[in-house]
Amino acid sequence: MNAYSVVANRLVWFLPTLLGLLAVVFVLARIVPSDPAVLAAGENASAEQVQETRDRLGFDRPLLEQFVEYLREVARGDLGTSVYTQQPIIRDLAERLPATLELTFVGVLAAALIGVPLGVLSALHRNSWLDHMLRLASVLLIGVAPFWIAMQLQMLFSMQLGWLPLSGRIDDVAPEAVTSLITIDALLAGDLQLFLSALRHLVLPALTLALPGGAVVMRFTRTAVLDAVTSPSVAYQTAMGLPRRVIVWKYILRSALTSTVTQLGLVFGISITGAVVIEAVFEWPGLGTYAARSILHSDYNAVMGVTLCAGIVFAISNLLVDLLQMVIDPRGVK
Amino acid sequence: MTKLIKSIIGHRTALAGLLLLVLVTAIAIAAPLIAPHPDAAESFHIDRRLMPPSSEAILGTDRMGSDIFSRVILGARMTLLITAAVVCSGVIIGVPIGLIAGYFNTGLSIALMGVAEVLLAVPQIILAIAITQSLGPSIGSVILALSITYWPFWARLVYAETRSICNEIFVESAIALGASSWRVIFLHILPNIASSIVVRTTVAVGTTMFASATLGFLGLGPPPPSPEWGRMIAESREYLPEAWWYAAAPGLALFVTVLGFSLFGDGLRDILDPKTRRSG
Amino acid sequence: MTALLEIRDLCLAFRTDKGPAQVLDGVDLTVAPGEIVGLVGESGSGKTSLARAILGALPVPQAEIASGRIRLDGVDMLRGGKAAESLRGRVVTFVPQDPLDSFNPLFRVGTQLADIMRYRAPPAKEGRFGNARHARETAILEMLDAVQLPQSRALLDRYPHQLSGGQRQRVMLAMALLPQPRMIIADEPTAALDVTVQVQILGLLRRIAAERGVAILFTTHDLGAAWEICDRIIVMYAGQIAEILPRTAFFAKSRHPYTRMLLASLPEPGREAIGISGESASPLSPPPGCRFHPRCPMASDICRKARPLPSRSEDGHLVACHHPWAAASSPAHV
Ligand SMILES: Nc1ncnc2c1ncn2[C@@H]1O[C@H](COP(=O)(O)OP(=O)(O)OP(=O)(O)O)[C@@H](O)[C@H]1O
Ligand code: SF4
Ligand SMILES: [Mg+2]
Repeated sequence: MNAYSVVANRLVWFLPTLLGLLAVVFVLARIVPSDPAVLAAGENASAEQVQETRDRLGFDRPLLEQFVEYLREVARGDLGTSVYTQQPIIRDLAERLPATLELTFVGVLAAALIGVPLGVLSALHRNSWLDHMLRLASVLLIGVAPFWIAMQLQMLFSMQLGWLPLSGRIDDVAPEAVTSLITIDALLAGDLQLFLSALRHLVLPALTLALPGGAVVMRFTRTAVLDAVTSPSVAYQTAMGLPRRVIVWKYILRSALTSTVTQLGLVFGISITGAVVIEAVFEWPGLGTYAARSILHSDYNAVMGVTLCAGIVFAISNLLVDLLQMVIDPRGVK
Repeated sequence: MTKLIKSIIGHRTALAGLLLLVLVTAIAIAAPLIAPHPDAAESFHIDRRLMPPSSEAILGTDRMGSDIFSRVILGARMTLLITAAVVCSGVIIGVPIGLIAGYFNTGLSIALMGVAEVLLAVPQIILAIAITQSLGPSIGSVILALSITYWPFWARLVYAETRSICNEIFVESAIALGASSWRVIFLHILPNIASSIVVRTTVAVGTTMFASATLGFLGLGPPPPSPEWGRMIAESREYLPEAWWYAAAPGLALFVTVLGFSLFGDGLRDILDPKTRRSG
Repeated sequence: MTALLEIRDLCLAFRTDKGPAQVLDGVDLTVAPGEIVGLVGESGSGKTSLARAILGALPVPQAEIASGRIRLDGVDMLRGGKAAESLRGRVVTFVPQDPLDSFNPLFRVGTQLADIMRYRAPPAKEGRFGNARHARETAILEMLDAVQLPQSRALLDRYPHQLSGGQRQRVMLAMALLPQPRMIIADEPTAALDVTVQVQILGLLRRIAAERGVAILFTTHDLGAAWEICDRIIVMYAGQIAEILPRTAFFAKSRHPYTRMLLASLPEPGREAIGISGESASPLSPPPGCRFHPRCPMASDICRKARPLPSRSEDGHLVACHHPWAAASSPAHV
């Protein structure tokens, strides 16, 4: 398959999936026992006010009709207003998505930087004590609940050692939003102090993602490298006396990366999902905390908006993985 | 079967995992007998709040003055119960759907697998939170929410494997010989994909435990004072870092249980699928 | 004349799940400088294993060299450490059995050629501006011309799977020649090619060897191909040397029953190649005595008990058989 058909194939599936996604969440949101109109009207609303809200928001019309109406709004770029923040949801999302993306990118990057070299080392020194230690560490890390890692990191590095901030994304005012990724915006504004502060806030949550993520990446890299080491092309290069370092860090690494990239894509997806709980622990103002809060406050439109947003991010990350894979492997996607 | 048991015993990783699992399960079953203060696990003792580990309460007490050791032991039951129920229903729903969709491969298949794909496209934990939230916090709603969330993993796997097996010659010849559909499915397809299902299931166990603990951690699991590990860890956050023992015990319990399953799963995958064998 | 390559009593086993597989058993052979030697044997007789043993590219944990010695240009290739390493890919190079698998599929052909050139070839004469890279590229293009690959510049930008089988094998040949070796080990260099291309490649091999004075150890299961280009032929059966024939003895003077059967099975005008009946000996449980005895029409009791010792005549003809054919009466028709 060439690049175009990969993109086309993804797109063909993209819209129906998104539609289905919205339908599921929509139905879910409306079968909740509590009356959405009561919630939407606010706490001290009278019976008439509730009725008025119900009419205005169309909660007593047939479900399908409401859904079609909702889709029409979405198509116009209007996701509705959050009952909780009283802001257009699209604005809430625009504020929060960059926070989650920044955290996830840094986390996945760290996972790759930890996992790939260790995976290669582990494979090259197969069955050595280094290999055994690394494999043990990876099994242990994969077995620890992310929120528990998060709490232990907090306890050690901020409560006891006081090296890093306990939670949040920034101490002072945010820099002027250009990319809304605070680290980059701070650099653009030339504010090194702010950049370092943002970075310090990132360390613990990103590490929480990167430790288990890196362990997964390490395992897959190890397997892939072991496969590559026994391949005929490596036997040939060995026979031809190419220096070992060239064989390993140029040729074998690239072969191993084809499967590692897929794995990184999965880790990215898992990290976006894991954001809900990690953001909760670190009070990170991202999509995860927004989703959790919207659900807890029965803020339906906000829930729908978050789901839509997560679905799109997910689809885009899958597409990027496909394309990256094609760049790495010229024989094309199978 | 005896061969399988033998190779599990001969496989260090699988054996270590199995032993951990046996230990955890035994503790869960015998929980009320082992727990030193079973009655004190769910009641309020104001004079004993937040005591560090001592000979009286070997893992300390929590904010209610309950014995953490007893709560962790009783919590094992809850975690194993939820996990078992979710994994069973995942298999019971997912495997037949995958088989039927894969074998008959009609419009219905597309619809079924479409539903599965849609559910897989939602971030799982958001879906699970939404469902538990609508149903109210209880063991039942956690089980239901996670079952709805996780069955598509089996369905997708079984569907893909069934499709590829259906194209193989021996199934084609069985069909040509006039074997009935159900016969082909149960006698030819299922046995061939069983090991993939088993491997997938052991992986799913760890995921499910994390997910159920996460729901508990976010306050959506079984309501207090039930001894759910995730909720216990969440409760402890207020009292850190002074009450360091508070989160340690349930966290370690969750860790050991998940570790047992993932070691066992890794070993089982080595044994059942020698193509991917990489431990030696 | 001192030998360039000298192998003495080489015994090689692979550890397998079913016990050790004795793949080479007491192999003795020499190759003189500039000589072309054919190593002929059925599939599984150990040709590739022998080549890989010389080149230090045996699969690491499985292969076990129980005894024997390999000397190349006076250097011990099994225990020679750095000295042996520096010979591989310089003094002795390799043309592998399967060119497609022996390339790394993820890198352009040009990159792979350039790495061999860069790390294994003697420093190219520097260009006018001292540009080593440019000089290397010129050397590569000249070499591709020499192996009859026209329009080679475009070829360098392609990936291995985009080349034809013949092109791939010519590139492999070029890679083997770039280091200006004194010996090339060519492992069935024509096995993956169709007949007309086979003939071209063999011709090329012989011409280049003659022009540059390169010795070649050429493995094949095709006696006809060996006869086309070799000065000497070594016939191997199940890891043991059965017969070594000088060029003049190729057809009429062969003495070993196995060689005779191979010759009789060659395709003739009006007749397809015919196989030899019976299974090749399994290296897991090789038959005692002469390994060929279960398939040999002349086998007697002693064949089942004692391994035949090689006997050598003054023209260099060697045969290991208890009941060799008499030195043939009919003259060789070469
Ligand atoms: N890595 C390995 N592990 C175990 N056995 C091996 C391994 N590589 C080769 N063998 C066995 O060694 C024997 C010789 O193999 P080898 O590849 O040297 O034969 P060959 O003469 O090159 O055959 P072909 O003509 O098919 O290339 C075979 O029986 C083969 O099964
Ligand atoms: S030694 Fe005996 S069995 Fe072996 S080839 Fe000679 S005659 Fe045949
Ligand atoms: Mg071979």
